[in-house]
Amino acid sequence: MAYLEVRGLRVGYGAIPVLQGIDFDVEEGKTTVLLGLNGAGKTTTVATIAGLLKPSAGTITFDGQRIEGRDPAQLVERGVALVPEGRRTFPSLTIAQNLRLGSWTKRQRRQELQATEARVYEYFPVLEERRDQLAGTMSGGEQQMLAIGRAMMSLPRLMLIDEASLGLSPRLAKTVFSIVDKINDDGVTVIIVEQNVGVLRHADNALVMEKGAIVYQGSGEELRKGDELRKTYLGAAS
Amino acid sequence: MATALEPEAASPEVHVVPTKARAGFRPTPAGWAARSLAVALPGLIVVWYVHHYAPVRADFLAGGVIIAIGALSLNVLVGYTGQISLGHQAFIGIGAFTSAYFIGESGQSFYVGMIAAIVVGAVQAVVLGLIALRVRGLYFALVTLAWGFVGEQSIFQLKSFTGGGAGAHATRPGGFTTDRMFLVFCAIVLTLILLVDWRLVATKAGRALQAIRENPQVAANYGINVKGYTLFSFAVAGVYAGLAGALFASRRDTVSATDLSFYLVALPYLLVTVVGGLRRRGGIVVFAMLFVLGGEYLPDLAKSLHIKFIQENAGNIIQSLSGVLAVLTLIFQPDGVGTITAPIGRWLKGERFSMHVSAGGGAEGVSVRP
Repeated sequence: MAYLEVRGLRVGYGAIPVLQGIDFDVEEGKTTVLLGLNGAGKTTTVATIAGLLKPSAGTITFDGQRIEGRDPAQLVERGVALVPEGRRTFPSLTIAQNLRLGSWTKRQRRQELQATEARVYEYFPVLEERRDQLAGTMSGGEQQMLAIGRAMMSLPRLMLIDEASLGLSPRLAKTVFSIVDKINDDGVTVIIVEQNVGVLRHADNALVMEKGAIVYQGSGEELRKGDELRKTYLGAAS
Repeated sequence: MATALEPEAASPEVHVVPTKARAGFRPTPAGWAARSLAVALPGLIVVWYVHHYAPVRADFLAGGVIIAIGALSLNVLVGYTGQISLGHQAFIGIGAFTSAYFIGESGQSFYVGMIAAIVVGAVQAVVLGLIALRVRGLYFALVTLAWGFVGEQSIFQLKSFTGGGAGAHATRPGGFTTDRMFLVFCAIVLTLILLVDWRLVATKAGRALQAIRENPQVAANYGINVKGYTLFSFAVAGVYAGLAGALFASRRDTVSATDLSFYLVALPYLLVTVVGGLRRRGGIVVFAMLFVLGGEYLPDLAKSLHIKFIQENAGNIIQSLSGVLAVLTLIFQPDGVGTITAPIGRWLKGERFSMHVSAGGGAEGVSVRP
């Protein structure tokens, strides 16, 4: 059984269906990239896994347990963390306060909390330098790092990263993704939602979505190398 | 910049740990003397002025304390949860009439009336909170505006509950019946509320409220119980308002619907909250007192200076000045007057004088350290 199993997932906003019964698997300890154009249903997929949207049909199984339709708080507790699109940090809180909010559901002891915070600072030294600065005063890249760091604070086993490269320079996006690689190496299963095909070099597996359905499921390497495949699924421009 | 990620950037020299740096600073004896003088001098001038030119009007001061408590209630809603209330006359009035009903009609003691006001105040606030979970911003402000007028036009007109036009009768607590003693009682209540408010913000609940104000969705995403904490903050605002209402009723022995209009309660209280500074409880208390004292002492000051116009229109002048002040505050100092006075406050506490806004964006007392 796969670490995360999605079967026949249907999600809609009101009467408008977005996901039309999708199936996919994510393997433990791997990085999976979810590619697709605007409106393909990528964000809807990860938001549903994180519990922010309730599916109308289908199942999501995480580590052997059904999690679809559960409360986001319960899911954070079980180790599912979402880094939302557009970063969404708390601008008038300091970096340290933002991070502390990430560990909200974890009843960690003070020392454990400090150890987790120290680990986040190891990944992102810039956050430690600015721990008392307001999040709203930081650059886009730093806020993205903060958003990922905040998700790390809940000690996730599965991390969903929605459009991390949005609005970042290619160079900075690369830095952010190489840190995500490190996080993955340390045992966190990662799902990256992206429009940018460049991210495939960081992926073990790839999923391509189109109009609310999964149209490709396979290895990231294959999709990256295979020009034909890429053109078919992601258009000539990619 | 990507270079910021390189390990050299994390060398100890560039670590910014302002709190520790501040803790290391101790004022010299001369520094402490200057600080004491800065507190004592204005205090002496005020005492001297009041002693020479006008008697201490404890009744008015008590009125100021009650406004401060009501404004702190608004501060919980507007400052901590980010929901604007334009109907605080209903919040205060329901507390006032509940207390008066228990004291005047049922013949209970003041304390029973006060507890009833707290409970009923919290319940009506939680009901509004349930609405706030559905609508936010402007729409919620309209709901509270409507709620204020429902209070004014319907609930406060119920003759069996509020005594109609004649008003309801409420006594002062035993042992605190003189103006001066009642002022002391109000000050005790205010002190308790300030302590509760300080703890509320400094603990986990305060951080949750802040996160919800910034972005309820992301807060929920990290497992913060948005519904629970929103209702909790409304309950707290209702408790403060209930207390303010109970004191309001007892201050003048009777309370009637005409005392609790939008113009006399909701608007001035909101002005005090905004001008004093959202999330700046010190600023709110100071401005509430200035608001009342201005109206009270301005005529005397004008009389001694022989300015007849000010003497005759002091009340209106204070009201319009507050309006102008509110506009100026919103333009030049959106976080309130409290932001201007905060550096002075920090200096008086023994820190180095610095104009920097404290970390936390004006959220007084918020600490993230474990």
